Amino acid sequence: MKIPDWLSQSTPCPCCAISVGGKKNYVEKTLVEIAGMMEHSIFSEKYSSAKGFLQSIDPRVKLITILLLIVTTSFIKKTELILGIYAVTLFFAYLSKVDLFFFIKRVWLFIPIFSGMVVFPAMFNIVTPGEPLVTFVHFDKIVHFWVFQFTEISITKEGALGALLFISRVATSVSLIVLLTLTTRWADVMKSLRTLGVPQIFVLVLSMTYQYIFLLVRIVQEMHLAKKSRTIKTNRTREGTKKEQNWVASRIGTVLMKSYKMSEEIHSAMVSRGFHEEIKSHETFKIKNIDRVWTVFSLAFITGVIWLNYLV
Amino acid sequence: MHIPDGYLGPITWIALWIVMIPLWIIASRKLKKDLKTKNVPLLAMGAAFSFVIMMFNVPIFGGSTGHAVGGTLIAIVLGPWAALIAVSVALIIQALFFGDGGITAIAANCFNMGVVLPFVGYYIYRLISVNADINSSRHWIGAGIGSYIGLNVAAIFTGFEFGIQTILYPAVNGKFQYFMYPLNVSVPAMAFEHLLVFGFVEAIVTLMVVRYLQQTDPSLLGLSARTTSTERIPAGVSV
Repeated sequence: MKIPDWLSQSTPCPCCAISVGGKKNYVEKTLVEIAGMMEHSIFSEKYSSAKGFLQSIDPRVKLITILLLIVTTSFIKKTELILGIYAVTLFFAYLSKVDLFFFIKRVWLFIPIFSGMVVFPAMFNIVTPGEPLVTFVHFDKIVHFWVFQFTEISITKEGALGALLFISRVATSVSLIVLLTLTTRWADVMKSLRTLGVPQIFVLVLSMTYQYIFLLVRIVQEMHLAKKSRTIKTNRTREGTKKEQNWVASRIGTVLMKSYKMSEEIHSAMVSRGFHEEIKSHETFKIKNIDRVWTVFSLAFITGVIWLNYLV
Repeated sequence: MHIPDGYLGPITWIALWIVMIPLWIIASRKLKKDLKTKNVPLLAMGAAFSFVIMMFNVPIFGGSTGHAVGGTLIAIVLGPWAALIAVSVALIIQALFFGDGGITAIAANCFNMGVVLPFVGYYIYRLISVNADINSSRHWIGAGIGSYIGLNVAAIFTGFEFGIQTILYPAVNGKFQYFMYPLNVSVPAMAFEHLLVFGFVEAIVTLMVVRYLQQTDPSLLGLSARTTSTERIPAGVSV
């Protein structure tokens, strides 16, 4: 029997997609985005269950090598080497059957908004003096502004190169961590943290938090939907803002009370199932030959990059 | 305020890891003693709450919105050491799974938002609300002032960590290596936006939630005080 299209399509959260006469406001968009991101990118395990290269690596080995690569990226000061690490990251994303367009989009979507805005003024001679590439304005006398003084406004070579180094380092680090979480089930990431010496209690709190975030996001979505379905029009007057603030505060308070109550119930549930401080986890990971090959390759790669950075 | 990878040079982020590791150990020991088996679900819910609170956008003047970190609020309800762990866990999840905040910068972010913010906020709150009746307005006034100052001190710390990069890693051939603005730019820039915008968001959220809890469930506000005085939560405390 063929499943009808509408049944096989999954939208982030159909209940919140209901828009009652008018466009969605910022809060709803954010909520739908977060819920969608969690369900699609993390809970769906679309890439982590694919039969790609990185998926076949032991999660502990993968976690340690990728973290080492991120640390290495932080030390490297040559832009071409960082771009080299980025190229290798893209190559392994490809080998791990990750859709490259999705991968690049996921990393680069937020970089221009935050790091791009931070680095943009530093490209100009006002912050980074140097050889001008493009000059926009030239003044006859020295202009004083805040703590800066300048006679022209131009983009400098040094500023542009610095910005390239900065952005490529940010993008490569984000790409590496995204690649790790895309190709590894989150439960395995959590378990692997143990091998880094993170205490068991911390790992347990982390993994429980991760699951309950999802539940709390649902509760928040329902609160917004409940309010929206009972509101005809929001007035943007002073009184409207005050009401809105009251509403937000009361909902945060309610979420806090709910969380607290829930933590007691969870505690009772855990104790009644035999929980008493000590936590045992089943280690099912086994080091295979491919893990050894990968470890040797990553260590050689890291050594090579450091050698090129410091000694050549 | 989430510092990404690549903003801080190795000296700064390694130093902050060295500061944070003992603090995490002290915090977990303290909680283990105070809360026993209860700490796992309580901290997990605290961390999940800290994550979710960042989703509520609060309208402020001029039609703009902003969100709160909630560090002081969690410290008022769960105590500052529990807030340290709860905010840290939320930040680690954001760094690992959402690419929000860097991996090398986890310790720096946990220091600013998980140590400086809740501890400053909490102790100012305690100072103002000491011996106050549970319905006293000193509770919400203290919470508002505490969270405002806490957030701003945390922002100044962040600006300082940014600003010292130009001293630790001076530009090579005119090309900057890490964060590129000097202290006299980074600190005022961070302080400015937090003093004028985010500080008020944090204060409004914290004081209004504390007022709401005073009216609906004051036992939550007395909780952290009771924990420190009797070293454990009485079994009968429920919501």
